[in-house]
Amino acid sequence: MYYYIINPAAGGGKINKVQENLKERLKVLGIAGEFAKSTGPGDVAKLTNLAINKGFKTIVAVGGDGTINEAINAISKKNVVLGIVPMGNTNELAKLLGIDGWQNACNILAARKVEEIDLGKINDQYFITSASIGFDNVIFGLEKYAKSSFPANTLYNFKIANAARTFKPMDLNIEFAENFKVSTTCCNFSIANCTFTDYLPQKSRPQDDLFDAIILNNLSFRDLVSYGKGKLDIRKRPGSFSVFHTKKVTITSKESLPVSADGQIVAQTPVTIEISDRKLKVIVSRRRHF
Amino acid sequence: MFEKKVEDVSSGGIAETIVGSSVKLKGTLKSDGDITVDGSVNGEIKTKGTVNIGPNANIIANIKAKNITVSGTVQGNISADERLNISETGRVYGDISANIISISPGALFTGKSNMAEQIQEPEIGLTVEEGEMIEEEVKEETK
Repeated sequence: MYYYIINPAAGGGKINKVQENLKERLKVLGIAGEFAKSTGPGDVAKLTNLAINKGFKTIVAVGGDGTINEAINAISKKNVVLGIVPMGNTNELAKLLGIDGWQNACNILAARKVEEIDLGKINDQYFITSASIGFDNVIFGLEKYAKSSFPANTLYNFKIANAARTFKPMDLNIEFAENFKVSTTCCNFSIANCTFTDYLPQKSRPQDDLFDAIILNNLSFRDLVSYGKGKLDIRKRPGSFSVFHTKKVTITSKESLPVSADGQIVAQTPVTIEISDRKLKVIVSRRRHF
Repeated sequence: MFEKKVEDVSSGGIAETIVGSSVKLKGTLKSDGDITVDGSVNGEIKTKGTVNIGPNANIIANIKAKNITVSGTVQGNISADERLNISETGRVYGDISANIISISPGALFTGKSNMAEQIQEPEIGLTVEEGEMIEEEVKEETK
């Protein structure tokens, strides 16, 4: 039986409008189970542990990347399968797994195709998609303003431009487990466990035991704004980025900088990011991006 | 007016490993795929694929790869299993070896070069057939 953990605050309370329809749909598909609602940060992990202690073998996180990341961190220590119903402002994890919308998610849960995928680890925190230091974290902080159409996107564009104007490049020293060190002045450093954008030259797959480490040079104001809007095709800027493949990196910086994982700030530099020995069993779509 | 282009030995597309212009790398850079360097490398570069050294790159390292194109500065020995191209902006201070070596006009190369598979030098003198013909001609004259 499935255990559903709902974050009622995810996606600005989106779940509250579709909750009954979701439950009905799960019932029709024969995968209805026990439901629990989180009440605040840290609660998803507590509910996950509660479900595991009750003997549930499949836990479904209903929410955005934050909700799912919290569930991953509780589940990754146990032999339990994770399911996802995307309901947040940012649903990058669900996109990676090929899950688009809650109706589609219900069908995928019913089909129950389970894959084992790599987990990234920062200190004791686990992640699936990526970890970042630099301008990515500015973008994550502004994503609540992100809208795709005019004029709603005007505020986001203004905030991205303002952030790009005041952003200071970072001096990083990065030590790779593969016997080399890199020093750089850059605007962003990201560790990707998988390919989740089409504008970065990534090749990593979440089942290859490797990360892509991507360094973006100190971009011009104009390029940084385009990057913030997701419109800069870095591949067309030869020399402006670096790509390495690694199992483990240690990053140090002059000033302590925030480090995000799956879109959440989880640590500060200095930090070590590595492929975990543990794998995560997760229900995926046949249209997943790996 | 018409610049001679150095033959591109890259396998096409974006290299698997890229050292961007803002990066200074120290150590051994190993890969099974293609490597592009636009920044600085101090150490060693090894790959089973292609290495492309960009015009602004500064390398203090030995390089070993299947194919290598140098458009920047390399201080170190270069060994290509197949082809080495030094383009017009390339500067190489070290020994080079490859099956095929191409050095463009304007390039700078200081060191020894070695073609790994030597082309067989032609034998000095006449071939056997030609020799036989001459011998016959001489005999006829003496008759």
